[in-house]
Formats: sequence, structure tokens, C-alpha cells
Amino acid sequence: MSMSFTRKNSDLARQDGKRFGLDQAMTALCFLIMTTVVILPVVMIIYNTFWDGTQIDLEMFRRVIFREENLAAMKNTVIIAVVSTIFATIIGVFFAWLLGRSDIPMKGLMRWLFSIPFMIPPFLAAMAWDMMFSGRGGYVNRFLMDIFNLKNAPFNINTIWGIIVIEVVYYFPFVYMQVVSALERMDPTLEESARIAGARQWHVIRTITLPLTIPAISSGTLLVLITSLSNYGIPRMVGSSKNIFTLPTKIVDLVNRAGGDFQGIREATALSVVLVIVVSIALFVQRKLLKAGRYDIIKGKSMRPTLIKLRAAKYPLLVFSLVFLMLVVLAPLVIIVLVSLLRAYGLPFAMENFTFANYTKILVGNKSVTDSIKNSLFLGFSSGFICLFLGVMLSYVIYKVKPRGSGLLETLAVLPYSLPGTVMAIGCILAWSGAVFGITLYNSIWIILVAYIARYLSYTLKSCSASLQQVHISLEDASRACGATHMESLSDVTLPLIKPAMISSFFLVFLPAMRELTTSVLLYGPNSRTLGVAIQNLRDNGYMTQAAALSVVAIVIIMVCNGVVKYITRDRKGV
Amino acid sequence: MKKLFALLLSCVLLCAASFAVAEPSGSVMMYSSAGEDVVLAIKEAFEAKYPNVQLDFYAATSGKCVTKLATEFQSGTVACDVFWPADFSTTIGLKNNGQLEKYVSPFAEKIDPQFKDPDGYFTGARMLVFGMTYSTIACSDDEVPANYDGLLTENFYNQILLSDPSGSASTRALVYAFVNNEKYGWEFFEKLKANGAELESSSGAVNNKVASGSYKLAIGLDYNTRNLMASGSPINYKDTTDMVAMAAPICIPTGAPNLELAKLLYDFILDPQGGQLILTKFNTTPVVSGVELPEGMLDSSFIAANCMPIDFADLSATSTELLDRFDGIFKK
Repeated sequence: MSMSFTRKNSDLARQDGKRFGLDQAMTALCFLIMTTVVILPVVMIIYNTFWDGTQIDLEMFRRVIFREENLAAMKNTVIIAVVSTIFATIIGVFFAWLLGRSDIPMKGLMRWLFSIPFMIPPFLAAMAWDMMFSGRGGYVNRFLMDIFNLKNAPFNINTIWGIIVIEVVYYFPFVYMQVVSALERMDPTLEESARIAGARQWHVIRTITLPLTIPAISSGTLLVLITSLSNYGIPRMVGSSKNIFTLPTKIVDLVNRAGGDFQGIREATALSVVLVIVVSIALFVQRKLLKAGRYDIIKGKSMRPTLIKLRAAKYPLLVFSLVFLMLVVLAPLVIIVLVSLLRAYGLPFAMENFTFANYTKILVGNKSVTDSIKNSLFLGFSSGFICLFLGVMLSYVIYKVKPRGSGLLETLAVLPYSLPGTVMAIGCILAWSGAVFGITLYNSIWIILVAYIARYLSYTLKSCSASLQQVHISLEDASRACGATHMESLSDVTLPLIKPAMISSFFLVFLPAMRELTTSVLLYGPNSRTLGVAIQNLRDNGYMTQAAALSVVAIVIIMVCNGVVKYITRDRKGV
Repeated sequence: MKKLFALLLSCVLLCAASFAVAEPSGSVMMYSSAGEDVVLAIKEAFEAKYPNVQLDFYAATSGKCVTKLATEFQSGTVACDVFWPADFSTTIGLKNNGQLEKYVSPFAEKIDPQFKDPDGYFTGARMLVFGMTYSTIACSDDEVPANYDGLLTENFYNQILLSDPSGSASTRALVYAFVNNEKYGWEFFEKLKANGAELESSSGAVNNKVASGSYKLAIGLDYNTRNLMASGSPINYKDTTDMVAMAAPICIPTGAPNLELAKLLYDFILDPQGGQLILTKFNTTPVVSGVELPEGMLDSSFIAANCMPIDFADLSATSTELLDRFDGIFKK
């Protein structure tokens, strides 16, 4: 089916007298961008790991990998990643179904709440959780101890389970965002026929709805898995005082331990090659699993899926959802806002200790902060748009054109994301300081943009490809049969159908790029400081309250941008 | 006579003209661990003194500055003119790799030999002094011990924090000073661990935990704690009788694109009326002695006479073994 389609598009192009069809042009462009922007930094890392300057060196790699504490860190990393991925997937799918397909009220509010975790820098979120649930006098712990007269703190966040809980609540929106757009565009006839044939609601969800959204679920799951594998902020903030180390925290420790000796940094890159291998395996498994089924469920007769009436379960589910979201989304946000209002860090939350001074200090006449806001807005929008464009094109090439090596393309696109930000930054410096092709981007804003594109392309690719896999090729065929050019059928048929996924994938890049830290902190130059870096510098200098205030400002800016983009791209026909 | 006068005049004019030509201009890049507000103040004063020079900077933790520079060396393009990490072992490593320019500033004379390189490749530029950082909520002034061995009492069981020497080069030097001291040795860290001491990733994180009252006390850095105090946090600092102190060095990497301006900035940072005076406004002790100090700040000559000796060349050569042994005690 797909093979004949490939030939057909190029045949049509040849009839028009063009030697290269759109498909070939896009395929060539994809490979070009992939090899330069995305893969070059990763190649530099791998090259420097195995090449010690004079010869190939495998001994160092072996030695680092099998060091006892590194093996322990690998074990922790895998446990945290697998367990938090499972729970994040379950919670994400549940909420996606609830908001996408049921008649639960207050959907707008809940949708808004879901986007908040993306806006909070991980280290601040971890700090907020630490302040609430720390075994050493967290606020919630103290409150519960007072009420129930407990001797010991009921919760202790500084454990491997604490890290898992934070990662689950931080990452489940990944799955939610992917799945909800798939559910909203689903062909309702399949579900309806099952219902007519007498299947019960739960049976329909289990055997029809869920299996059909497997591409979306699996791409969300994969994003959570990779994010968790390479996450640095949360295990660092929560785990390091209790000696819980993961691969990324070990890698950054090794970089710091190197003390300026590149041989020491090579040990860190060796350890991050392990992450690249693990992620490649995960991608391979995902492809193999997905090959088994067919998911192109948006066909000719399109209509909006009917909402399922929750009846008696409606209000209990609503209360449950709201309480859950309050706890995991709003509570950390409130803590951050309260800290941002404190006169000095460490004072109790009381009216007499609150002030707006932190906000005036960072916003009035502070050029480095205002510059960083401008830079991050530029980086957020441009990397968002570029990743969106590349993601759509790549997923179209991978899933519809299907050239030889499409599996390779997909793997390559995701690999940079598996590297911890620090290591990715090292790769970018090595790649873009003029050593390759004589291109020097170092210490300018462009190297950060290139790094963001490499790092976040996997978000838009996963999101768009999940959505594209649902669009049946017959729709494009029909428009071509009616005389539309390939370009027209793309822009009038295929792209509008995946528009919800495109918008949400833009935000998947925009939100984290606005507050990105670990990559930009090594890359920024005198005129390209980012918001994340500004927040981090405030924190490093001991101005925790101002760091919190700037984070709040960042969250407000992101929310405003979110609103504006949503307003511009809203569905005018109300489809 | 007239002729002589004309000759003299033209000489003076020529000199003035040549001075005008020599007026420094361009831009210079500094990577510094000294904290952004300190670097900003230095930038302002430096640019006021040399109006045609622009000082660009990268301010981050020492580890990040070092990683950035090391990667630049690996890639073959150095962008940094003046490099200011937090401890000597970094600069010793760079010196041994032949990655530093030799430069002796005229102001280096007034610096104790402990705090500068004998061969002139780097010079201490600000002091880091360790002491007792304590929470004024959880710990009274009388409880705070006058010395490090006072931390091993039951009163501080599960109440002590220090930064992880893996990530913090200054704490690495502190560990080195203790284990090579007859009074303390490795035994001190074994006992400290047995008394429930914990590690945090950076000195900033340590201070925040103490400020929030989660721990009574930490082995902290003077300027960090005093800055937090100045902003009103419930935290305080006390110097100890057994002193651990070190200097954060400045140096010029080989291949620095603006060598002459780098030397100009180097001198400015060590100038008792310039950079050194600015440091005191941010609770940081100058390395050059004789700078006018605020109350409570110790002169570097007093610190030099009283602090435990640290052989940074040896520390630099043995730091992996040191960290492995430390991790063996603390990260089990």
C-alpha cells in the first residue's frame, strides 16, 4: 500500500516535468539537517570518548562503565525511569481520556493546570516539593505531625520513591498532551459499532479506544522515559544529600571532578554514551512493537467523537481530579510564589515577612534580567517554530514517504535528547567552534538555538508522527485524484488534520525552551544570557527569593504567550 | 633657549600623542566564579577607568567556568582572556598542561607566597575562608563550637551539612587540609559521618538548607553566609580557631585573544584601590594585604599566618584518590 503510494507521488511529479518531487526534496533536506544540526554534537561526544588524541581507547570506556558506583547509579536510573514512566503513562492516559472523551465539567481549567508543570524549572519544582515533604521539617509534614500528634514525619521525599513521585507528577502531562489530541481526532464509528453490538463502556475503552491511541501513548511514554533517564535537576535536588545518584548526576559530578582536564571530561562523556545506547534500544523496541498494528484511523468520513456521559461517576471524578491537580500542580506553584514574596530566604511564611521588593529588584533597571527575557523569548519562539516545521517534515518523510533509512532518521532525531544538557553543550562547543566546516557559532545566541533545536526536535517529531500515523493515506490520494498538487493536498488536507498535535508540539518545545538551563549555562556568551541562566545565577549567588521571583515572572510570560498563540490558532469553524 | 623650549615642547606633545595612541581599547572576556554581582561591579569600575574597553564576562560556578575553558582548549578556539576559578588545583592543572601565560602583576608583591604561584602563572585574587555557618533559628550563638572538633558532639547529631567535595573544589581543599593535619586526619571525617553529617551539591545549596532551619550548622564559606545574612536570612557566621582558607586565582589562558587587555584587567583586579576594594563591598576578603577592610573582616596576612597549609600541587596530583577515599566514607 505504502510502497505504491511512494511511487505514485514521484510519478505524478515526473508527469509535471519535475525531476525531483516534493518527497525527494524533503527526504534529502531531512537527511541534511539531521546530519549537521542534530547529530554532529552527538558524534563529537562519541568521537572524543573513544579517541584519546592519539589512538582508539576502549579501555577507559570499559573502566568507567564497570566502576561499582557507576553501576549503582545505572541501577537507580533505570528503576526511577521505568517506574515513573509506568505511573506517568497511567495517569496521563486517564486524564487524557477524561478530558478528551468524557463530559466532565471544568475542562478549560484543568487543561490550563496541565500546562503548568512544563513552565517550572525542575530544580525549583524539586525545591518546592522538598519544602513541603522533606523528612526534615517540610511544611506538610509539620502540619500533619501537629494534627495527628505524630512523632516522626509521615513523608520523606529524600528517597528514591520521592524522586519517582516528583518525576511522575512532573512528566505525566507529556503523555496527557500526546494522547488527548489523538483521542479528539479519532473516528467515532469504531466505538459506536462496538456499543451497538452490545459491548459495555469499559470494554470499548479497553479493546478499541486504547489500542487505537497506542502510537500517541507510546510516543508520550517514550518521551517520559528519555526525559527521566537524562533528568538532572530532580535527583540532584532531592537525592544528593542521601547519596542517591543517577547517571546524569554522576556524569555532571565527573565533569566537575575533572577540574579542567579534558581526559576527566572524557570519563563523563563515556558514561553518557551509555545513556545514548539505552535510549537507542528503547527506540528500537518501540518501532518493533508499533510495526505490528495499523493506526490510521482518520479516514474520509470525519466527525467529532461523541462525548461519553459519566453519569453518577461525574462529580466524584471531578473532585478527585481537582484535588489531584491542586496537590501536584498548584501546591508547588504556591510555594514558589510564597518564597518569591519573602523578605529573606528561611523566614517563616507570615504576613510581616512578605514584600514585593524581590520583584522590583529583578525587574527595575536590571539589564541582565530584561536581556535574558528577550533572549529566551527569541529562543523559545524560534526553536518552537523551527522544531515544529522540522518535526512535521521529518514525521511525514518517516511515516508517509518511508525512504530507505527512515528508522535511522527517527533514531538520530531522538538521540541528542538522551544526553544530559551539560554533555550536549560540550558536544555543541566541540562541533561549532570552527573545527567542523569552519563554522563558528560559539558564544553567540545561534549556538544556543542550534542546541535547542537538536535537543527538542524529538518532542515535535514524536508528537507529530503519532498524529500523522492516524491519518489514512486515502485522504491525500483523494485530493490528488481531484487534481490538487502534492503541495496543495499537504497544506489543505494532511496538515489541518494534525493541527491540534502541531499546536501542542509547538508548546512542548516553547515551554521548556523558555526556561532551559543545563545546556545554555555552558553555551551562553556576554549577549546571549537566557532566563534559566539568570534564575540559576541568582540562586548561585544566594538570592533564592529573587530566583523564585524571576521564575514567577517567567511563568507569567509563558502563560501570556500560551494564551496569545492559542487565541491566534483557535479553531474558527469550531470543528 | 627658544630652540630648547621648542624641543621640550615637541617632546611633551609627542609623549602625549603616543599616550593617546596607547589608550587601551577593544574588549576583554573574563570567566569568573566570583559571583555575578561582584563581576558586574568590577565591570562598571573597570569600564569607568578605561572608557574604550568593554569587559564581557561569563559568571558561573567554578566547575562550569572550568568545563567551558577545557572544552575550548579541546576544540582549539580559546575565547577567554582572564580566567578566575575558585581554587589553585585547577590553575595548577592548566599550568602543567602548558595552557597558561606567565604574567606577574606589579600588585602581586603584596600577596603572601601561599596565595600565588612561585613561577608567576597565576595569582590569588580573592579569599575563601571556611567557618561555622549556622541557623539562628535552630542553633543559639553559644552552641556554636569555636573549632571543628566541637562538631563531633551529640548536640550536632544529624545536624551538620557540608558541600560535596566532588563538585566543590574549595571543599576538596578543605578535606585535603584536614586529612594532612595531625590533629584531624581521615578519622575526623569518619567521626563526622558517624555523627550523621550529610552532603549537599554546592555551597549555595548548603546555605539555603541551613537558612531554612533544616540543619543547625554547616561548614560554610564566609562571604556566602555574610551575603545571605546581609539580605536578612536567619543565618550567621563564625570564624574558627583552626583556620582553613584559600585564594581563588586569576590567570591568562594561552591563546587568549586579547593578551594586552587581559593584563590590564589582571592588574585592575589586584589593585588595592580597584578590584580588591570592590570585593570588600560584597563581604569577600581581598588577597592583597593593606586594603581598607570593613569591621569583622580579617586581613589576608593574618589569615596567611594562621591557616592550615595546603599543598595544592600535591592536591592536584592526588585529588582522584582523595575523592575516592572521601566517597568511601560518605557515600556508602
